[in-house]
Amino acid sequence: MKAWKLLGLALVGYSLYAGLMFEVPRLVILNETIRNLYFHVPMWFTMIALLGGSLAYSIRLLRSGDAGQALDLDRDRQAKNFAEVAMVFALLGLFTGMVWAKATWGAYWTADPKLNGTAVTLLIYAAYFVLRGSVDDPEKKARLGAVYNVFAFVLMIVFIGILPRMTDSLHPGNGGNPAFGNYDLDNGMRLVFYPAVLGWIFTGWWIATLRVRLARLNS
Amino acid sequence: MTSLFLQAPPAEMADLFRSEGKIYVVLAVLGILFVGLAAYLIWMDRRLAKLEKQK
Repeated sequence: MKAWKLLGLALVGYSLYAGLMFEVPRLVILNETIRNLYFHVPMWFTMIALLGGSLAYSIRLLRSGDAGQALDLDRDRQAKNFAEVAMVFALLGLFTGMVWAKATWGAYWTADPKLNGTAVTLLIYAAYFVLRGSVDDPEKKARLGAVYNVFAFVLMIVFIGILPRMTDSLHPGNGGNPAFGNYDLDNGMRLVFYPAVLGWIFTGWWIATLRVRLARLNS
Repeated sequence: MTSLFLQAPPAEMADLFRSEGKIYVVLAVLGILFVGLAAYLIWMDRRLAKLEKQK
């Protein structure tokens, strides 16, 4: 077993302990829920990392068809499975965010650009899976899926990274709200947050590679 | 302005909860979940490696 897999687990385990036990800033309204930063936000970092991996595999698939060579269909399998695991992390990020929103904003869901942007992102990737599933020819499926995946990644960045920053938003990091700029001056939180992000990215990447390997065995 | 801030009540935190020591119960529960899921991932990885060897 590769070391980065165990490192990922160790970092997540550390963040569970440190996330509960270490000191956090005392802020009204947020109170102890500030600790959700260690658990909710890494879900989104992991989703973006996995979608980035998926995008890279799609580009490599398209490049593999250059110069009249056969498409490397394994890249299609990797792109699809990475996007699938990314959507699991997106749902986890969405649900944990809803619980947090209820406690601090007073509602599970608001018509907020950040929230609606993430919902649209889920639909965009749902369309990727539907598109792949609707084509029988493996080469055509791989090629169409890869082209759409490039498009989907760009839309994801627009919907969760750009548009929410251009209007008012309740969500930190958008519409003039600093991300966790208010709290990240606190070096104690950095000591937990960054390892948590790294740990979850490694763990999510590991889960995606497990699914790829399973799919290879099944093919 | 300053005096207004000075009079603001401090943010509520889980001080009592921590002082009673019960937070360790939650940590233990999280620990069990974490160890279980970690073991599952490692088990799956090894099993896949075995199958890949057979192929």
